[in-house]
Amino acid sequence: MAKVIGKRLLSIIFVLWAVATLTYFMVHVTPGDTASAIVASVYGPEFIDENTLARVTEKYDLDRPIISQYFDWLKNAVCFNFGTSYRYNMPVKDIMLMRLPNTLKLGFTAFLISTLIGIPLGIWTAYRQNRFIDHFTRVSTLTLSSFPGFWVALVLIIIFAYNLKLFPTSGMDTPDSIVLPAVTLSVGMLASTTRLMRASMIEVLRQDYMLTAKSKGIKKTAVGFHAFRNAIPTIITVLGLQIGHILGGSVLVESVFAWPGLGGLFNDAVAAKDLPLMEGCVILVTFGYAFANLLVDILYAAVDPRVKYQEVS
Amino acid sequence: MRKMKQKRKIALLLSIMMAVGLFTGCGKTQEEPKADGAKTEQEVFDQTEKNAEPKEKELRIAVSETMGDFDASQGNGSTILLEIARLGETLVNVDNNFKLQPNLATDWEATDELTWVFNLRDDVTFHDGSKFNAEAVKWWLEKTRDNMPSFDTYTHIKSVDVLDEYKVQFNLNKPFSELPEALTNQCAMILSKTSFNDDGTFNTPIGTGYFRFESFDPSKSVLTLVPYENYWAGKPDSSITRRVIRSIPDPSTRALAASNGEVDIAADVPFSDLKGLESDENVRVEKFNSARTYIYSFNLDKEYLQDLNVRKALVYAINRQEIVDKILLGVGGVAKGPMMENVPWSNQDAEMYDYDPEMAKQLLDEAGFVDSDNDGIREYKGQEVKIKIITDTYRPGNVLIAQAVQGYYSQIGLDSEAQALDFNTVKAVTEEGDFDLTASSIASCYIPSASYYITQCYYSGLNTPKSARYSNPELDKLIDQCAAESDQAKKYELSRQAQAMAMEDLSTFTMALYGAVFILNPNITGFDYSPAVHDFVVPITTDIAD
Repeated sequence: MAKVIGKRLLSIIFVLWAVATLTYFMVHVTPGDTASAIVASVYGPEFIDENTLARVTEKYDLDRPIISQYFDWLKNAVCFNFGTSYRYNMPVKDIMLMRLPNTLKLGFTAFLISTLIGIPLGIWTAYRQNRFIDHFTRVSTLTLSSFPGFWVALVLIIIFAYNLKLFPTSGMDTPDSIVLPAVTLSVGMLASTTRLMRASMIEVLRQDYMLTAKSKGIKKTAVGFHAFRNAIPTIITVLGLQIGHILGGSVLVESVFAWPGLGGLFNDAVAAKDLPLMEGCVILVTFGYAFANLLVDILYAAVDPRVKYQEVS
Repeated sequence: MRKMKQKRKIALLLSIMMAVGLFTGCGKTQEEPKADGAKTEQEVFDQTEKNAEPKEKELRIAVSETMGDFDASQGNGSTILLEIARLGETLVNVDNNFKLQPNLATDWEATDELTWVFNLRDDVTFHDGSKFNAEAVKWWLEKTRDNMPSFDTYTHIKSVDVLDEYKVQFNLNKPFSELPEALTNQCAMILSKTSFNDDGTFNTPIGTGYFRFESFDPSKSVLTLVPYENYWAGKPDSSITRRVIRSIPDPSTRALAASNGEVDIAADVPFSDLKGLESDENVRVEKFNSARTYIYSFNLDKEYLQDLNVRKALVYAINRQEIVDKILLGVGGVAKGPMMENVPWSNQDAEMYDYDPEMAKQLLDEAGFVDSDNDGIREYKGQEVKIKIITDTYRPGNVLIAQAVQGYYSQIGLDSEAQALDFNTVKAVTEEGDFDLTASSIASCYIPSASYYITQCYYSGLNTPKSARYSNPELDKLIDQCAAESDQAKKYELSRQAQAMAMEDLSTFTMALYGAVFILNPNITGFDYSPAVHDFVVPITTDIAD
């Protein structure tokens, strides 16, 4: 097992390198030069002129060949030094560490909401297959998650913050300000959790051993628990994938709710062509994604004894 | 029996959901201090102070940009510190009528072409109690000169000499008659040397303004300020005891935060939200015209656009009044000259080619733009032409205006397309030349001098979106004369002549005046908008009535 995890960790490092490298070169393919993007976002577009651009180019050492800039960056990145952000003029590591807890807090809460509602709802509707409540849940969760995130966000703000005055519209000053962004973020995930839980549960309930268990007269709750344990592996995969949704979806949700997390930072970084900050964010998101998937695989082995990792390796 | 079971299940479901609610509830309160780390103590302190002092009165302002660092010597956060926080000040001020006013400097004169002498106030202290004097000005501006790439472009300052305790001399790189105007800019805001740590890293901004830095939480992007007791101009007539500036990047959220009473001042809200906000009793909507303009520039490398009559036709086709009324919903104004009428050197008699679609059609016919294949669309000398308008999304009206212009062009039988691109792409496309018209927005009085805007828009060799490949040596000469002239009346006249000449050449035209719109707490008093500033000023007299 340890050997497998070690191997997986190595492959994560490779993935990180590949994604970072791809990002590095892709940024240089996008139109517009870095110097003027920096000037426009830090000082304002009024300041763009040859003299200023020349000084910015010199200050950030932008006129060297991209490949040599890349190797310098890589050398530093290996030592966890991601350079200084052009836009914020602070070490990338410091900014990210400042913002990361906010995103984690929001993502974790959203994940909890969607899981704790989605899983019971999935189980319940599996037992009520093709009844009214089943159809109703399916249609309503699907409809909810089909709405674009920014629209859900604004509707929630208008209803719960503006009309009912239950929560603040934005920011993170009071503890309850997390509710609306977390609900917005969880809405997108709720449908898939519910649907997959339902499908997986139905699949298990159809199995012969369930029939055997029932006919042996085992208590209904015990049978239900039995079915649930067997339905878990499928749902774990989905939950793992949802980590990706959280990290991606937070870019939008964070900017609508002025939630000071990584999403907003990433947004600013792209607008300013702030390469060090962009790379920092990309690496962090990739790592989160890869790590979540590793965790899923380990959990898999824990809940499903059939999965033998030695065989895979 | 079954009903019972169902009830039990519903009860179970409800209790799970409640548990979720509880869990997230306590999750938050427990996590809060952890996430904030070092800031918690400060917050606790704030809280107790608030409780002890019942007269506490906050003015809360929402801004769109994210605040990160306030090292103003690099230009970071300087607009906020100068205009919205009122923490820092400049040597010279510009008033609402675009006139210079003494501020930290009492008077100034040019001693020769390359030197200026400024006398400073002798009663000013920085927020840490240290003295504001010639030494402080020299230290800060030389630091800024070294740190900020755009500083010498705007001020041409080579070095600063201390003549005596309250007298400085600026030595310039090249003759520049508009140094006092340039020193009103945020890049010349003076902060104290003590804003930096001993190791040269930036600590907190320490200025001379009425408000001093209290705390900044970078993880939340919230800046708080409190009045400085020893402010040199005395305490203003305002009962505000704390200013809180927070970032809310999304414009709709900003507007909702204001109408929900979470902030007292919010700027730049979406035009589409205005109607609802204007009937909202919780807020007051105020609109102002600013010296910023929406301008359109022609690509003079295109053969048909080199024909002045085609350019004229493309301007005659546009109903600018309708754009202001229906597209910008009154946020902005119709320009009666290249610049806003309040600007003293604006030429209000320049030809502006007001809406005349018949004239536009006639000019196009004469220029060879005719519908030769009877498909309802004009061709240029038999070739199909699609007028390509590119605009950035940096300002709220840009995209809406470009779409409206497309409509006007189809009315005179021209095919056109509008492309909204991010700022960098617009710049790249402009340089490549694959466009007909480019739309941008310029603060015409960023430096409040008569030569600034005309230089930005018309001077040869500036290959920027605003002066797309235009060159007129005669006009360049006028601009040079205007910049060098020290007699204000003559200077204004030269600027007006240049504007008239530019409008005859019609390389660029002013589509509309940029409007600033504010969503205010209805009890706000003493808030006044100055069209002369970069973003917006929240005056120190701004108060909230009880």
